[in-house]
Amino acid sequence: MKKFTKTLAGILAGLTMLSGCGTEQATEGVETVTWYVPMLITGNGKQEVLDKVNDILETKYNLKLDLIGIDSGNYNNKMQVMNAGQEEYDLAFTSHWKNSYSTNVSNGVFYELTEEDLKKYAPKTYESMSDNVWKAVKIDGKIYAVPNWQIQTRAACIYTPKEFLDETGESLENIKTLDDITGYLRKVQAIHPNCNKIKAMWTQLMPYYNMIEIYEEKMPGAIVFNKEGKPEVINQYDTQEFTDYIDLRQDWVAEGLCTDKYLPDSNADKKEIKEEPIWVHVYSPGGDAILSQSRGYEMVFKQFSNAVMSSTGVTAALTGISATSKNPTAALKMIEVINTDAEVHNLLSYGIEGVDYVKTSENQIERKEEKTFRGVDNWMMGTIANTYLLSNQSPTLIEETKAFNDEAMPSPLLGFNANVDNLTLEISNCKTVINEYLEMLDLGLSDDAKLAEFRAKLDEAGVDKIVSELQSQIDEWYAAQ
Amino acid sequence: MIENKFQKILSKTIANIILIVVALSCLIPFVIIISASFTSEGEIIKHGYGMFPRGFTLDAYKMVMHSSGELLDAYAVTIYTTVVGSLLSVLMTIMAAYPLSRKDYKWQRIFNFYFYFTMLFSGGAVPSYILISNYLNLKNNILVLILPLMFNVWNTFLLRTYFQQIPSAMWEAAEIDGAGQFKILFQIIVPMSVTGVATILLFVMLAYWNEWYLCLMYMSNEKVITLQFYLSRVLSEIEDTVNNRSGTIAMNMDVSNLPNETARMAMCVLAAGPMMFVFMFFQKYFTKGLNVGSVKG
Repeated sequence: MKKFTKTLAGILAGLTMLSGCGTEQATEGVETVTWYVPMLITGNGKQEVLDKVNDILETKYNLKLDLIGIDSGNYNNKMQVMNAGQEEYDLAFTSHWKNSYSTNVSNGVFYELTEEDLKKYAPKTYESMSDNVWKAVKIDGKIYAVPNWQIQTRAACIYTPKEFLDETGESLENIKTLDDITGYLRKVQAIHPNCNKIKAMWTQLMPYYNMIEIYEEKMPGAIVFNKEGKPEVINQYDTQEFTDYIDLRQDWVAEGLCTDKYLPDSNADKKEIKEEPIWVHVYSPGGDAILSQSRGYEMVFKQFSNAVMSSTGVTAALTGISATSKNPTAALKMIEVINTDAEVHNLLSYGIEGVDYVKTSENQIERKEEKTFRGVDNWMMGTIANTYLLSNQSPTLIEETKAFNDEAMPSPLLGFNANVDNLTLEISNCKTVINEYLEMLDLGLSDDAKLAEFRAKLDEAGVDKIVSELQSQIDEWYAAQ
Repeated sequence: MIENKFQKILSKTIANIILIVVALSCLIPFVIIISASFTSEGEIIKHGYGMFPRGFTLDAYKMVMHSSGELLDAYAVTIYTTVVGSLLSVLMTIMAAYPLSRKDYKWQRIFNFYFYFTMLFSGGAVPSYILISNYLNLKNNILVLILPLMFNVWNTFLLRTYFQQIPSAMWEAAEIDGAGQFKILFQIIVPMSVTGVATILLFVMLAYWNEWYLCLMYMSNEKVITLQFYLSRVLSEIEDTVNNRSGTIAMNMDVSNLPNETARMAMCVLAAGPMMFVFMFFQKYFTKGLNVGSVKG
């Protein structure tokens, strides 16, 4: 009995010892801002970097940053419970694909940001983005989050090794449609008969088919404009376009332009051409340079669809101010600091010069292999315009991105943000079906029967309810405009 | 006679073959995981997984260990919560189960129902969160990894059933001899139900060892995270990158520092290893325990 009591006492003593956590000391006048992001911030140098950031913030702006990184897979879960529990915090990453912006706004999670507030506390951030961008984040005419400026426009694009163009005598100028791409593939086929030539995905081709995603690119429900120019919600998987695309993919496989097997290229004696050298993907400014470097041979690219700026392009990365925040103005000031103070933003994204990266030119850096700090991606907290570029990125990336954003056609539905709260069941059902079928269809590895089966299963999963619900939301929004 | 013997042998052989197949189908995935964790990444891409490591290497383990003192921290936290938590938990369970097992206890039925009720209805995620973070102020406190799991009604009822099997004459005799309730419980009842207590201990140890949700919700201190949370973080980060960020953002992402296939296998071995070891020692109690529990429960 005594022995037992002793053990118990020991355990309890151990408990109290470990639970005695230190309390933080707050300096007078300095406002602490808590910021949640869906990315782990790790590394042994983490504390050093964050201390350095806080030194600058404290002396220059009287602010202090408490940055909390949650791994992206658990972020939704954690934020949902925190928001429902009225937990006090200041800033959080929100978007249409993570920590849903529209759901949060309809639950009153974020402060409304008036133009006066934005002009007063974050004037440079406010000015740096066009009216269209601000329009895209509005819900019922009100702004609830600040966009992180990045590529906000989508267009389909073909990336190809330059070697293939030289060998076939094809010019990128002539590639305007998927049929042109098929023609090009046939020419490449004549020279490199045995390699798996192309990688393409339906979701990346939606701009090519003039379909605009509404809430998640894979999920059913996309907008097309009918002849009168009115927006119409469709199930993109039940369209002639999708049938044509799947037929095309099956043809590619039948002709040997694209296979599911790994086939080493017997003709590539000069350099080893990797699998799937040609890539149909979204347009990304400077993407050719990145690919050239990662693949070790020269890549060129061409955009072959209209560039459209839709709401989701903008709402892909936003920062919201929590309604539980005790000090929303300090939070807004913090957003302004990240967007204007390159030193702070670079520290958070890349760490300390010489330790985590070396400069290769005025605005470009190379990350060290043995870096001690893994920070936040630069699009996650603020504009990408004031951070360093990586050495494999185009030195003029920011200008190119700006031009691409500015030239894009703003979608007539800019500012429509769908609310899919009532559709959770149907969406998760559809997700299961899509995960089961889409990839095989997308690779051209299934037949028409499978396609019919896919559509039937989507119907069963409640795709009609999704489409009609979204349609009624859009009609309502459109009528209010 | 001969036919009979033959039938016996035949049925035994068939039974054995089935058992061997089942055993192998449980064992082989483990072997493959272990072997994959020692295989080099290139070999896996070229040849796929195999029963024996091709091109033996410790790279995956080096990577998992090197990239983080965090892993060791996580081990320490998990071992601490598992040991302390399961001892306290078993103690609580024993002390709750004992009165419930005594038919002569006046409030027995009421308390039985009171416990049972919480099995049917619970507060739900958000109220629990508010309670723990706002009223109990346990956020970022290591106690939050121990307390919520400490009492499990199902385990209590399992143990109650064990205690009820002990003939009432045992504690009646002890009472006549003048033993107090604590003495009866810890010197007579518990030693007589070692199997049951060991089973419970194994259950709670597993629960503590596998805990990650509490850590996700209440711990923002990176130094105090459990092993499973550490691993689930890494895995979900990989999955999320593959599934969700396919659009515009993907091209700007630095995916080079994500761990690769073999590292995941190595993590799997690191996570499951110690528990598998513990399991072996418990097994004789465990199988016995399951039988008794199912018959009487």
